[in-house]
Amino acid sequence: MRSDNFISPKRFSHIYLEESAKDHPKTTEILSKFPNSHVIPIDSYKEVFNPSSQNFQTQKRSPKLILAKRKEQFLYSGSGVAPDFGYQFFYYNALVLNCLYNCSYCYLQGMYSSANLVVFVNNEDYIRETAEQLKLSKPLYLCISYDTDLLALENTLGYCKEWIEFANIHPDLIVELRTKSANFKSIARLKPTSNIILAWTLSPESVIAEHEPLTPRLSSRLKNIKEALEAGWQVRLCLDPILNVPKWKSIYSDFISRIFEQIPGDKLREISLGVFRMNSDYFKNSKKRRPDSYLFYLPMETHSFVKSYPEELEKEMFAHVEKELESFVSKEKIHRLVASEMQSI
Amino acid sequence: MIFIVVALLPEAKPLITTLDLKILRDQTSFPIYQNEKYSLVVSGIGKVCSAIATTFLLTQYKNEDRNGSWIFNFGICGAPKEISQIGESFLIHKITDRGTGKSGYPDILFKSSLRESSLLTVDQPVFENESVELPNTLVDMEASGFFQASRKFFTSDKIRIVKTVSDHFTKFESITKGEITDTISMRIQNAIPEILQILSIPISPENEFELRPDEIVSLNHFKKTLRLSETETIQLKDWMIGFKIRTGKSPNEGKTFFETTRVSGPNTNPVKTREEGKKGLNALRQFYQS
Ligand code: SF4
Repeated sequence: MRSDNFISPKRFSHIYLEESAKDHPKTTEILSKFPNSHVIPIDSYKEVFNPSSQNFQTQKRSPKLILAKRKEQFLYSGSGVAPDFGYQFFYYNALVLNCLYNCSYCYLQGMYSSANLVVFVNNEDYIRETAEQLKLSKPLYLCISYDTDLLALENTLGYCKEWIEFANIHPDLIVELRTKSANFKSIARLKPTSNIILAWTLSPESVIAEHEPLTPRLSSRLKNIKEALEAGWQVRLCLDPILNVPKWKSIYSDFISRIFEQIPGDKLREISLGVFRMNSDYFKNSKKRRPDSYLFYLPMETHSFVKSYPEELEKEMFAHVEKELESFVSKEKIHRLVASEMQSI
Repeated sequence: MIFIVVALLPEAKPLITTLDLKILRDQTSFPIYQNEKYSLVVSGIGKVCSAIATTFLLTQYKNEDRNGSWIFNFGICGAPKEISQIGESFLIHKITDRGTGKSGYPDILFKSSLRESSLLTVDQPVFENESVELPNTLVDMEASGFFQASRKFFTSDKIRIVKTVSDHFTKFESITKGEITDTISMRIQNAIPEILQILSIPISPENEFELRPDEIVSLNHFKKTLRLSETETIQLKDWMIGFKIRTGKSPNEGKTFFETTRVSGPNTNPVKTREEGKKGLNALRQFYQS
């Protein structure tokens, strides 16, 4: 089977352009970065993104970009599957649908029928709506990299910079920018902002190689984290999802030592822990789309439509990982996200 | 199997000859030409005929192994002078149905040397001097029907369309039907290298992890001896597949384990009680999942 004929995933060989987004300055900016792509006019992003007759995994080999304008819902109230870190007003937004990476356990493959990336070009409307909400809900905790990896896309979109600048003048807004990228350099020149949390998701190197293809290596992420901490940024580590891989105990022990060989634990804002969990419908779809991944065949339990490892195993995993972490960070900085206590979205 | 849908016999002929396809002897509603790798149907003109012929072809071969299969439509189209010269072939990335205004998008995940274009499918031929505004794109009469029908059977990465420009919306009033037929065949004949190029690009392989026939035999053996319900059998199958993916080993290994540790000893007689069955199932779960 020849596989060299597939277009490289990074190139966005085709860009679908929604009529309403065509004159937006962000569209012009993005298109200028892909001069060789075919630009295909569309009426609505939904006609490309929503049809069910798409092959998510095949599309991942050459994902396309869809540029659209969001008309409504610039803020969502936080879901039970993600952590709120004790903030009463917890929101997330969806500036981009889908991600450049292709982790085998990713819930997006169970949520969307398409692997193409939808970028909403009107970030200013998201910012305006957030400013409005801030008048009513303070402090407001907002995740801006929820169904995507915004920092991985920063060179193309520049959205992280826009949000960092916005957060700079709104101290009551706490923004979480979650990433698996090693693209800190794209925001390194900006002023570190105490209400922006750079949340790096980390996994053991062997887990990255097997289950997080296309994401940067652990060493590159750790280097980025070190630089961010030295520059004075707030950093949260997310060891999430912890996976039930063979020999998980020793793998996660080595992984934690490896992290703190490079990172000073006392400088971290916090560490959040979670084991694999997924809305049961997304789980069903993902299992179909990832028939080659054993992760979906491991023993699971379902609580309130969330699939996760049996409670006993979850507890064991938390206890083990926490014990290892406590040699490097104080206990108060470690947050558990317990699957059975979450609600499904 | 690669399925091919073409509107007219003169369009199909050059490819039938090149691929050495033979007409199917059975009298079918639409003529089908095939060999072991390709099945080509001649649909007739118009999007409705194209949709029916596509459905007909794919239903005829519904029992074929669909892994590696995909569907292809090619033929002639009209185009404005500004867009294309006569004889040029295009890979289509958007099809709009003029009647409904709806569009479809084949996924182009491969590289090719063909130029790409959108395509408008119309219900009536479009001619210069007859229409006030000529469409500023390629125009045909079948693709939207073909695409809509194909999408019921294939995902959009497995649907490809190539159109070859035959005219600039000109009406051939002074030439005979035979000459038109020859012109069409000649246009397609010249486009054969492009058509073959697209036909030769394989679709992305799908990873299907299923049990092999000998592994199904093991599953059925467990089912019978443990008197499992349908739901329990589906669960067990899932564990067996998971074991296969995770360890790379055959789930038949569970059979040896089963025979040596079975509650009622190493025999093939069915268990006597449901409890025994459940106990056996649990033992298999532990074997496959640890
Ligand atoms: S980085 Fe996150 S969003 Fe992206 S593919 Fe991996 S799990 Fe999914």
